Amino acid sequence: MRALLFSDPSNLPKLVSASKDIAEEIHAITWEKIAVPVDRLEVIKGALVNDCWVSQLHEEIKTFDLMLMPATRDSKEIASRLAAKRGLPYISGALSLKASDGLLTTRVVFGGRGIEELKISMPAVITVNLDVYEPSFGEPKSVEERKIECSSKISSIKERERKTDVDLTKAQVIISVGRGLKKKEDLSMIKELASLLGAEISCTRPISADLKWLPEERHVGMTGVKVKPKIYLALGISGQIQHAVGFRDADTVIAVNTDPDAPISEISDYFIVENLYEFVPKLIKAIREKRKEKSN
Amino acid sequence: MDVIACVKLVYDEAQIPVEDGNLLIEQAPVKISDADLNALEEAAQIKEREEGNVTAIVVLTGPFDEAVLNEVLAMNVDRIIIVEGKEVRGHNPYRTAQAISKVIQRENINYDIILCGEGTSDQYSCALPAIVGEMLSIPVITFAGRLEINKGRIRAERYLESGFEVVEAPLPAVASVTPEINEPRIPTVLQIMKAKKKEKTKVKASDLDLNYPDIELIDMKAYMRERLRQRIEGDMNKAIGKIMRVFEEKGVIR
Repeated sequence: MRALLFSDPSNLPKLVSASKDIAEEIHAITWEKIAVPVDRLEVIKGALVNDCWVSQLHEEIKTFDLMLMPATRDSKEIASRLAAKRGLPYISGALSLKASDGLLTTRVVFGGRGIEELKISMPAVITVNLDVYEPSFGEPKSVEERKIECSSKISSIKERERKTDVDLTKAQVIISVGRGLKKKEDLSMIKELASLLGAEISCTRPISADLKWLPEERHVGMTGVKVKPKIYLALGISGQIQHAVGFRDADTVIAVNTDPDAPISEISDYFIVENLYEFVPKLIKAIREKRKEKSN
Repeated sequence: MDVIACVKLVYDEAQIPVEDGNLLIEQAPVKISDADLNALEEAAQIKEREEGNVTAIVVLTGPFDEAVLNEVLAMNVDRIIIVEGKEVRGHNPYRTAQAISKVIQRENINYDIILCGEGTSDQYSCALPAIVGEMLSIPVITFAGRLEINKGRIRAERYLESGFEVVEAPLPAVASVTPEINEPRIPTVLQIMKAKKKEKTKVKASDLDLNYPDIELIDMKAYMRERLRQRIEGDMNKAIGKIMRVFEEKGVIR
């Protein structure tokens, strides 16, 4: 099977891992040179908006059995448009891929409450949920770089912000905050706890998207990152399923909430009915004491 | 300024009972897909600002509930077009998008902008708006957290994982909106009563001559994970002690 991969440079190494099991030949297209073990790497510069990628990939896709992209928002748009242009089946956010008289994929549905198995014919276009994959690095067998000219009805007025290097999928301990946090300044208390535990901080969608207290890449859930830490400490999070699906694979879930009936009580290992503003300072104190005890 | 809002009726995912690892989806109540409420609200606001009509198109891919259709109409929607029939049942965004595109053309529905939710509450493929745009050959803007319409052009802030992007395109265009774009209105009982009298047009899917790549559903199961569900209430010292023990067991206190 021949697979064509299209990805932003940061997701490409994981996408290569996802494609290795089912494809014998892998070609990849991205816009910055990156060392990934593929048969051919094409570095295309000059395509600024999704429109340009759609018209570019529309030609490239023709000779492949499978087109794979990461399940990012941009890729989801590009992938569906390509599938529409070529009349191909499209699966969004696949968790797994298996060749079997066509292609078998799984994906999460109903806001994280269900998982379904789907079968489609090939050629096909798939966006893959990459949170479960480790990145693959290595030298491509061949590299081609080129620049394209593109005119589109859609113009990009403002450049997007650059992504930082945080990768929540690798974190061992995650402290996550929801609407129980009253103001942005209170994050300092959360940061103090996080540094004591060597933890990453994440949040629910309202904290990143509505309030913008934390960047979008720290949003855990159906529409954000899916994490698998040893400990997920949910502070002031009610536990809506759209968020819960994001920490489903955590080993241990501890939740602190003032509402004794919060849905998170059903989906946590330890549910503590307390106000996070009283709980967190006490926990910080207890950790400090424990550490002092250990160092003595 | 005429607006089309694409709306999906879905089973309320938060209220689906689970039995022996299976989801009993048909026992859940029916609702408007969450982000489609934002599309409807944005459509209503555009209409109230710029004048014009709002047409809602509902393709019945799953459940049906007349009362929920009235809720759609009560959000200052002028009329609703319902595509029904076994030909459109089940999850296939390509097919649903084709039904929407064909019904727009067949019924000669005027539009300057087509609005959809970023993705649906049940499937969240986020594919439909983009495919509709391709089928109608109009500009596509996805994941808009802010929209402005000015002199025949649309400007949108796209909310992405890596930050945001501001794009501009000429109308007509299709845009999908994120929940951050607005706070959907909750119609009053009176508005819902009045909505019952508004125009509902039914279109048979079999008349639309749909042809699409198949997606075969092999299996669906509950995606659950059992948790210990230990509750500690009213005893802060016990709570701190318990959590400290868990931290030590997991080796996170160094």
